[in-house]
Amino acid sequence: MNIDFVFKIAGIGIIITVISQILTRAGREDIATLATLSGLVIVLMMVAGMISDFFTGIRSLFSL
Amino acid sequence: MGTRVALALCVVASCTLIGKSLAGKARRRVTALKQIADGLRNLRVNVVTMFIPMRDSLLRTDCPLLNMIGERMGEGMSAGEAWMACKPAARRNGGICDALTAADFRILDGVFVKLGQSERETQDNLLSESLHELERSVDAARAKADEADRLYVTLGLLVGLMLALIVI
Repeated sequence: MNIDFVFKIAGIGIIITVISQILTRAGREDIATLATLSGLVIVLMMVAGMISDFFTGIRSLFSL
Repeated sequence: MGTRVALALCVVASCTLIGKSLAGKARRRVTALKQIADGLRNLRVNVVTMFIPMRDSLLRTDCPLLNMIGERMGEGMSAGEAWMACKPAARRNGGICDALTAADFRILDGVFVKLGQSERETQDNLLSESLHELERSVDAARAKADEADRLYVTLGLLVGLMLALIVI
């Protein structure tokens, strides 16, 4: 696994947190929640392939 | 790598500009309210001090909205009827008053419906009170526009950075 990927996810997480904070302080809590959920979905989409490979590897390791 | 960095910079710049354009509506509201307030100020001078008839006074102001109402009055309508006829076009996207809020329209309804319906002193009081309310709205709108500017430009920049991170 490329370490850059971890930094990417960390960077996206930090930016999403900042966006959420700014929106909350501007009184738009609903949009802040939406932004947080969107960030979560984006990161999950990025790691979905890797999680799938991980489970495939576990299955082949234990011959399941 | 260089192409990716350039693409990322383009993404950040375009998202920031999108944020700035979203903040533009708040600025347009300030401009529209100021224009209407200046127009009403001229109207007050024309009607109350110079005794110019209402329709001509409306046409002489530099406010496109008041000019539009003056032109409709030429069809035999009162100021209130002309305002109601012009309102849908003014409110539409791209119209003169598309950036105004419901509260702003309530103030304008209060002015135009009673315009030209009573004697000079009452008209003077009506225009004076409406100007006072509009000036308060302009100050509030200006503060909101500054806040919207900062908020949307910052959000645009952050979203651009996030997309740039995904792209690189």
